[in-house]
Amino acid sequence: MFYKAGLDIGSVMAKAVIMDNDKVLSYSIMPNRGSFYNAANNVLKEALEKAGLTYDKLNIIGTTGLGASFITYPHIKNTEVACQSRGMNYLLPSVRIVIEVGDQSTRVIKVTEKGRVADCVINDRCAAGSGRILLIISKVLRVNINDLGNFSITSTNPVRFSTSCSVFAETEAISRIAEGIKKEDIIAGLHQSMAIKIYSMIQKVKIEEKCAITGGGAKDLGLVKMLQKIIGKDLLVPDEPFISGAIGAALMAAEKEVVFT
Amino acid sequence: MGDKKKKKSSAKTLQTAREAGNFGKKILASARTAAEEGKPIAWSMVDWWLGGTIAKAMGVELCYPENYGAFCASVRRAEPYLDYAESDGIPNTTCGYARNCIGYTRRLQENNFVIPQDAPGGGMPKPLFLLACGAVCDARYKWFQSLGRYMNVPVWTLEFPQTGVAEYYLAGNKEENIKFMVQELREFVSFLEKLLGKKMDWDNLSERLDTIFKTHQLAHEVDILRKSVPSPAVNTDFWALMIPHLYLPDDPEALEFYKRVYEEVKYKVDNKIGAIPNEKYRMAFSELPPWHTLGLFDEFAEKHGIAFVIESWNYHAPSPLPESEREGITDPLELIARYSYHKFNESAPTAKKYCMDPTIFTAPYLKWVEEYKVDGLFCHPLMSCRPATYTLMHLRNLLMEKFKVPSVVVEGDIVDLRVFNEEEAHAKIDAFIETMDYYREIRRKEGFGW
Ligand code: SF4
Repeated sequence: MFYKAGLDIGSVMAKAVIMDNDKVLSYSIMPNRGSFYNAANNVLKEALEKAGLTYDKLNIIGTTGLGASFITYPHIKNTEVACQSRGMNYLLPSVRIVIEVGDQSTRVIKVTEKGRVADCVINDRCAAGSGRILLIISKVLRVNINDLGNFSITSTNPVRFSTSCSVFAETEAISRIAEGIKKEDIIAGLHQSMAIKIYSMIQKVKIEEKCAITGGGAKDLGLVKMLQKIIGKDLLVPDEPFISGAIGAALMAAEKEVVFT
Repeated sequence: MGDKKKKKSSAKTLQTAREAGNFGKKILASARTAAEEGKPIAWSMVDWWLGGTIAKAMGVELCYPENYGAFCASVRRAEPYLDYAESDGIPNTTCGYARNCIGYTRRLQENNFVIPQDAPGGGMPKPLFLLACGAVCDARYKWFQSLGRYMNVPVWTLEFPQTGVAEYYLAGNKEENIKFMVQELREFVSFLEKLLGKKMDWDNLSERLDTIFKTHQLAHEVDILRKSVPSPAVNTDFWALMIPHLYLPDDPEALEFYKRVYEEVKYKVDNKIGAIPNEKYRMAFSELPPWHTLGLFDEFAEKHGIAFVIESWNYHAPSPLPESEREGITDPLELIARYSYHKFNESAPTAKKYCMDPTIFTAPYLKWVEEYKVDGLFCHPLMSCRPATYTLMHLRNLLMEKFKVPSVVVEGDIVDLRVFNEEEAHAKIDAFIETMDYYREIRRKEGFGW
């Protein structure tokens, strides 16, 4: 038995996985509600409970994400890019391009057969290419974030967003609503503009045969479909896209071979 | 003009590099003293030793607005000038050096050309004229024209032919270019003679030229020493050491100083003392630095063992002018023209070898990656500078294609701290370590020498 925990404390969601060697025993996902510290404690506690384990049974804890520095228990922190790379390699070993659409940033990572980072492009300057814009627009349109995809796939005429800035995209969306344009066309238009941005990032690292999408954005079917259309390829999606980073964090901590207990 | 933000300067690794900032202070202080004594002063662009040397031989004291911009940024006091330039209608995408300088000049003009008390480094006094140079970029024409209007002083612009790789190899092209440059310099001499009411001191010019060649020879030898593993000096050392060799290479004090630089670096090479204690990765940096946050590179060194072994092509002294080019040339103007032209075109054979354009900002790195055993390139696209940005993606692709050397891209600006995100730089470098490891392995498998 070698129990390891991986935590990915993002800007919106906290995720934890518990693994025994290479097997995922349990996981937990919860919003961090403004406190990285509490979220990191609670998410680990819940994941441990689901696995039927206690904290003292853990041999090692790996962490990543914006909120990882708020964790007070002993842990090994690694970069989000490296953790996504390892985690996705564990979940989908054949994949060589990982698109991670998170709240704060979108990353396109070229992954080696061993799950190492061969190249990466990060779009963290501009919310228009990240999951944050989806949140903004879902609020403007008064649509639950989880329903964006269902609206988008029924669109027959996506609007063209003339801007690539999230602030202006919000204003544009409001103008389109005032013009009486259907929600589904506005959402699909937004997905299209994001997909074009992401595609240009993929081109920078050069596309590979097998590509996958992960992070919160992978849960948005509309975005996934639009990306597939723009890229001209099917995208693999892990069963639970939220936890790939946490899995990677657990695996990377074990690579460093520091054992706490 | 308070210094609200925390300073983020580099500690530098060479003792001589720590002292090199004194040359920057000397430039400003000498100009102010000259102004007090009623002697002629000019503001000069970096012109790769073309007109500046001539002006100095005529007794003109020079200040360098680009260097002043770097200085204001490094002490984190550029923002008020940037804001002030922008509030006068200068777009925030205009060159950071230009905005800093225009903001400063506007203040100077509003203070009846008395240097404001709070000017960083004591400030630059009002010039008699402005010396511009067309090399590299269009912003440089408009920037000095605009300064000329703020201060109502004449602007002299020296043209510098920018040659494509194919054109460089056209029969007679080079000699035509040199002829053109010599003519430009001759007209500049006439302008100065008229403005200053005295004749050119040709002996003084030849002496200065001789000192430039000697200082640069040493600077070039230091560059060669930096190929050693571990690297005896890093980018932050270089960006300090460049002040004497870029702005004052004709100053005997700079020459003496460079002898010490050479000795310090040579000692480190002979004794295998690395600039950073635990060199694990060797990176190159292109092209212009984030002057406001040079301490970042110290952090990369400490955290990851990254030594930035080579950087900023445009600031380096060229290799010595080949004897064949010097032989029989008695006109110092021609020697100057040949030397500056050599600086810009000495990597043309590399560009030709790899069938690529342009030579400047690009081809030198294709040589350097091999010579300096570079593991990765740090690309710093600038919000406000096209020439030092547009080549970066091209270079990134070339290094990967030809040498399997990866790049990391961190956007920012030379002067404008407001568009730079340190956290982003750290996150990207953290992730880039694995990428460098990966390509090291690939290079090894493919038989590259490093
Ligand atoms: S090359 Fe760039 S930094 Fe230099 S003057 Fe032009 S815009 Fe400014």
